[in-house]
Amino acid sequence: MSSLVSAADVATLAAVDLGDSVVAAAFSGAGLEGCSNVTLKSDGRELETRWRLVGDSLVLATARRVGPAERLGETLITFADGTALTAPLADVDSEPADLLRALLELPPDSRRAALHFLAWGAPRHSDAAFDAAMASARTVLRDHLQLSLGKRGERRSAVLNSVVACGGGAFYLRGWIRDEAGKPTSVKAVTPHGGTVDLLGEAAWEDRPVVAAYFGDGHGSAEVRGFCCLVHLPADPTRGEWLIELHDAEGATESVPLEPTHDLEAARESILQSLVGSPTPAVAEMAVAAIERVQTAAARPRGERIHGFGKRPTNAAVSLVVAAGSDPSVVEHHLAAYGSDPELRAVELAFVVTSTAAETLLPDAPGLHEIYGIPFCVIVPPEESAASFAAAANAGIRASGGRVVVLAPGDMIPAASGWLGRLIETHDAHPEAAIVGGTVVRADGTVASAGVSFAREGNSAVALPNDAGSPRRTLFPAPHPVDAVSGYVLASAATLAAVVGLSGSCIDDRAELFAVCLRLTASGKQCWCAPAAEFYDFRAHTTPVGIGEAGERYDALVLGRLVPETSKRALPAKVKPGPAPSKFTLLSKHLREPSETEAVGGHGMTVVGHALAAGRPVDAVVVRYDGVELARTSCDATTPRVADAHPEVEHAGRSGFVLPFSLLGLPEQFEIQIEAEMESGEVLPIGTRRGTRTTLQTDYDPHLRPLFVTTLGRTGSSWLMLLLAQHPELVAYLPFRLEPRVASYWLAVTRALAEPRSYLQAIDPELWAGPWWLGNNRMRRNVAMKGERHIADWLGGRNIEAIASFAQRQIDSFYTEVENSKGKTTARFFVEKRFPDAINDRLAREIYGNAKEIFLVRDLRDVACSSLSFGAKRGAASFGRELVESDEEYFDVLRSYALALRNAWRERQEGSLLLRYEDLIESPESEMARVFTYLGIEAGDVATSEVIAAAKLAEREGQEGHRTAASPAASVGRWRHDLSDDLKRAARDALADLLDEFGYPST
Amino acid sequence: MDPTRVLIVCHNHPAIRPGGAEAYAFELHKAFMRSADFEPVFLARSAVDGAFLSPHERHLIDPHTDPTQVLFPTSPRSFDHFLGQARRRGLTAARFAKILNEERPDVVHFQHTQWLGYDFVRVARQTLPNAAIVYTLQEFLPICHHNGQMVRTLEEFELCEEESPLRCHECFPQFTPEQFLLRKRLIQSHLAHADLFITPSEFLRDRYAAWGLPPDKIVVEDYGRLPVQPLPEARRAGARTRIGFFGQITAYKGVDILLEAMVHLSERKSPATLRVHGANLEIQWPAFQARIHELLDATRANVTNVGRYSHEQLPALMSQVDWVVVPSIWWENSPLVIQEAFSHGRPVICSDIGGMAEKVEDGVTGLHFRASDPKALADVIETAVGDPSLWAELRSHISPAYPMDEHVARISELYREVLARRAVVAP
Repeated sequence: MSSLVSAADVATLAAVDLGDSVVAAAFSGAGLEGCSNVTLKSDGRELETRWRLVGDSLVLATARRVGPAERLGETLITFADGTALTAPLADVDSEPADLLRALLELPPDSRRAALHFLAWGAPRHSDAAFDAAMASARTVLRDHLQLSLGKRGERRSAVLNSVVACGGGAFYLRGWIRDEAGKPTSVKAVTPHGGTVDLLGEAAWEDRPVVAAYFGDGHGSAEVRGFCCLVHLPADPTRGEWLIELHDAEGATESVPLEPTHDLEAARESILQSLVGSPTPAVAEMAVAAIERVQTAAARPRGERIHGFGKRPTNAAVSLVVAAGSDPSVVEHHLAAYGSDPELRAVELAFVVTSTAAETLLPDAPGLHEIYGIPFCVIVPPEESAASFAAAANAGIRASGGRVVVLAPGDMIPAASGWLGRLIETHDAHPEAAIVGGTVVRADGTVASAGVSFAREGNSAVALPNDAGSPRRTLFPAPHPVDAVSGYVLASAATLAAVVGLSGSCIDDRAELFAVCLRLTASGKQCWCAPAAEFYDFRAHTTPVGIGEAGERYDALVLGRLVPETSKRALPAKVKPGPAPSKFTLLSKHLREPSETEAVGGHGMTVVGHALAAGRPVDAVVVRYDGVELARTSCDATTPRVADAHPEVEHAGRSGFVLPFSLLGLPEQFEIQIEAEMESGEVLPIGTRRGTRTTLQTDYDPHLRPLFVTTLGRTGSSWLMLLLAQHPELVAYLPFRLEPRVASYWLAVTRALAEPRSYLQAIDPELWAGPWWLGNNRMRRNVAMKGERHIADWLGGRNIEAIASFAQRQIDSFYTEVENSKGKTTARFFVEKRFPDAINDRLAREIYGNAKEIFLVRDLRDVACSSLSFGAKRGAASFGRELVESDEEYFDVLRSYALALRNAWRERQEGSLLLRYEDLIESPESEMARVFTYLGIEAGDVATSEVIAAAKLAEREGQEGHRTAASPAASVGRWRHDLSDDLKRAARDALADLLDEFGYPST
Repeated sequence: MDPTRVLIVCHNHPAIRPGGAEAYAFELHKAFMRSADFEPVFLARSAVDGAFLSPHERHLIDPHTDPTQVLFPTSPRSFDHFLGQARRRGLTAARFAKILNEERPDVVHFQHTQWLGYDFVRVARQTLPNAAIVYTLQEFLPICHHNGQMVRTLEEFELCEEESPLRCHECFPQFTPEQFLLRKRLIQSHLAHADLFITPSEFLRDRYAAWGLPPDKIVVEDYGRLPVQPLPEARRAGARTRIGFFGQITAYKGVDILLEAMVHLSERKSPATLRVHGANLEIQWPAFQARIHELLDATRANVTNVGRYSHEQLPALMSQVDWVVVPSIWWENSPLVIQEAFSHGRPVICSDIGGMAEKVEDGVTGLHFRASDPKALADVIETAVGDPSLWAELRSHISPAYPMDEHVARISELYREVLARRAVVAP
């Protein structure tokens, strides 16, 4: 038969690039049923090809090119009788739609087989990269190569992507329609019983750009619209197919029928697809409602199996329910934690695990009971509830007989005995405390309370940077009411069972507890924290992968509905979308120097160690203090021992680093972070080191003391500088025409020359082009100065002090020159404006022990208005507005600037003066008198009036370029009429806490 | 008064796998056997059942005929080395509980729980609520997953000053800090059931107290030694130039440091000579074996590699050296070789860290050198062999080894104290 087939009989229908160099080709022709092998060729080279005969006249083949530039040439088709032919293969410039059109020719069964081959069932390829590429192609194909594409010539399509049974007669439908004939007159979902749901009226609609892109070519301007809909049926059909009917003015079509998914976990995952990317509010609302149904159904199944081990305590007052989920290994750690605690002897203990975990746990459970001597039971909820925390908690609560119930996550254990007594005592002593929790301690020593992370400072705690916007907060050693509790929580059985229960509406267990707390709060009850009850959190061990971006978005949406508007910023960090899980891990890392206990004496430090990542070499090693980068180096020093230990890693022999860097500008006692940075930008921690550094002492005694005005742009600082410059005891250089930074400049020079890579250039130079003396391009990491300790000490010590002295002398000389040129004879301070720079500012304070500092603040919303107006006036965005695309986003930029100012104020407020722009405008005399009094210079009425008068005179020369409001008075509170409602809202969301801290009302 | 029934629990039998801790534990058992105050039983974990012992081993231990010795087979493959307990929970513990119920000891004295499980301490408490439970801490295994050495796994043999979940994670990146936290909590929860911990050195006590064991439950009590008869000291004139090393040839024992020091001494034309007595080189890492062979080749002129030795040969071998060097690069606790050297009147040159520095008084009973520094060791040896009067001076300060009889009396006293306390605590 095949010998009768000639190349002329075979047509190439399509050759499509599916992305990532994956190509798919389709051939048709009579006689192809005898085909025994197909090989795509490129430049005469045979590619590894997968193929399938569909029906008796169509061959599909897929292969992977070396690169997109490689052109396919021909296809070798071999037949069972040994004959072969070469089919011409068009250049791979067809569109996917061409392939789809080719498939539309097929009868339904063949089309199904073809799609199956392309999208699902191809045998595993020997090329892993090909499989990966096909996987991404499949993601697209699965969504769009539906079996209901319609027949060729039809102008309308209706596709049902998924039907999910959400429980209780609710179904979630997701799909899309496409109609070339114009607007559909009717789109209906048809239930298994023949009922219909009007999707045009009931569904949430959204664009489906990817589908549209597939069909855009050659199909006119047909609109593709996606839909999702939560349908409630009076009866609950567990069987039967759903379909979609589409009618327009010219005709109708219907989708291929689809059976619903009943597995609750699969259902949740399916619905979460609607929350991937940027769903419209309507779609998000529909999806959230559907997931809530699924979650609730999963949370409340009955029929759990209970296995007892040991004699259950009679009349136990307390039931402890541990939601161990899918990790049976945590059970023993809980038993170990409870076994020595006398308070736990009379407690009824239950572990709730999934059925899979139970298979591992139950054989060991009798032995665990023997070893620990603690009676307990293992509760296994029905399969469909999967690993739901709420299901576990509810099952445990149902099986409990205690007056009060403690719910414990599987991935936490108490830090010490006595926790139960503290929780009960707090609960019983405060009738208003409906639910009581403790403090969560993580492996890194940070603690969490009410969803906010803190670093310890004795009995108090400071909010960590991820919540840097919150004011400083204190953890009280005494029990106190809080917004929410997490970790181990205690409540009366009645409260949990009758009043609240766990609805399971959230996916993450922390979020679920948060939701419980919010519901309690909404019903007038209180959550209390007993801080002395501490619990270790080892979640990172048990759940290295989170619930995914869509899951976090869902939880945030659910909680967002429950959180009162005023406290939305207190949402627990866990439910905010976090950074994507790292693709890299460090196989090996070590900080050889300095040792953890080393106290640093000089002005520099050297970190030495290695960092070995799997897959890719570490791109750079970075040292940071408080998030600020201090130094970086490559990570490629030779490490033979690491190579010996990791022979499987090619780059293990060059994974070391040696990084000397300056400590100038750090506090006397500091902690630095050493991090590995991958080429992709991912950062992996290597370690931290604490140290104590020597204060920088200079031998220069300046004639003029510094007065620094630390502020942001558009805060009226030019006006303040002008005012200050008029005082006979203050010197400023052209404050209105220029913005000199003489002191900042020389301090930056000092820091640059204090870097070891810089001063080592003097004794071991690498003479590259450019400013080689800075050592920025220095290759050698360190200089062997064995036996030269004295010189090394001098370079890193006295040498730097001499540089700083020189810098002070230069600053002093400049301003003395200015003083003389202005004819001032009694000057005591030079005045400079600066933006907050933690390192430089700290260094300035260090070498100028007598420096004065004014923090000038202004209503940040007015700052924004002024910045935006200034940009508009100049025709170019500035003051950070140029960094973002919209005015709304600009408030986030402003927040980051203001946080730096706020942090500087917090650090140096002692001995500094806070000055508000608004006060300066409203009461210049009294405010300037306050400033002068702070400086200890002439502050009498006459002097102050003269200063203001002189400044107003000087203002006329140059203020126009600065001014963006009609008058200074008009610039106060301008945001109320300048900002739109949306911008006001954005300002409130971004700045409320900072405004509050600087004394401005947020509304 | 009825004799005290003591169950000594050890991770190996010295007849099967010799080691310092095993040897001491078995000597203690034998000393108890000789005393009318005790009825001891020695339980030794073994990789095999007693039926598989060789004739030599069976000569020393026959569990079928000697009711005072019990072999307790466990498989290393079913042992969770990270958590220090059997993987399959309950089965091994139930066997141990059965033995406890059969023997009904007044005192359960754990000498080691490797291959058995820290949870044996808890099982002992569950099974025998009134028994005294004593645990002798031999090294840092509960604290440190790195074979209990408290030496970091990284580029250099860096001594570890303190444990923490994060530091342990640095040594073993495959385990998260949270896992190390859980490991510590689990092990401590088991050890909390012991009434008393014995450490052979102050150093070890301090480390365990820092780790979290209650200081008031830790007693420092050195190993007791059975009396030895040193060979008569030959009259020798002139310098004492003969150095000896006794112990296993492993990376932690610092033999390579000693050999490198001998290279320096050879270059300096020093008269010092070294005799290396040790075993187990053949089971070390290939790179380490190669390094030792390379150094032995380079020091053929002043080093003799004697090889493996038996306890009975020790007097003769000790008589052939003047000084004993203990160059370990890990902390050690209370190395038996120091007691053995002192028993034979040999001053000790040792690393200036941990249990070695504690047991050898610098300039009094021996000399210290900076750990891991071959040049520093060479300097100290040069001083030692270059001063003919120093050897006799140091030797004159050496006290006899701590006699086993005194040790047993002290142990007996500790048992009594614990039993008295338990009688008050447990009805």
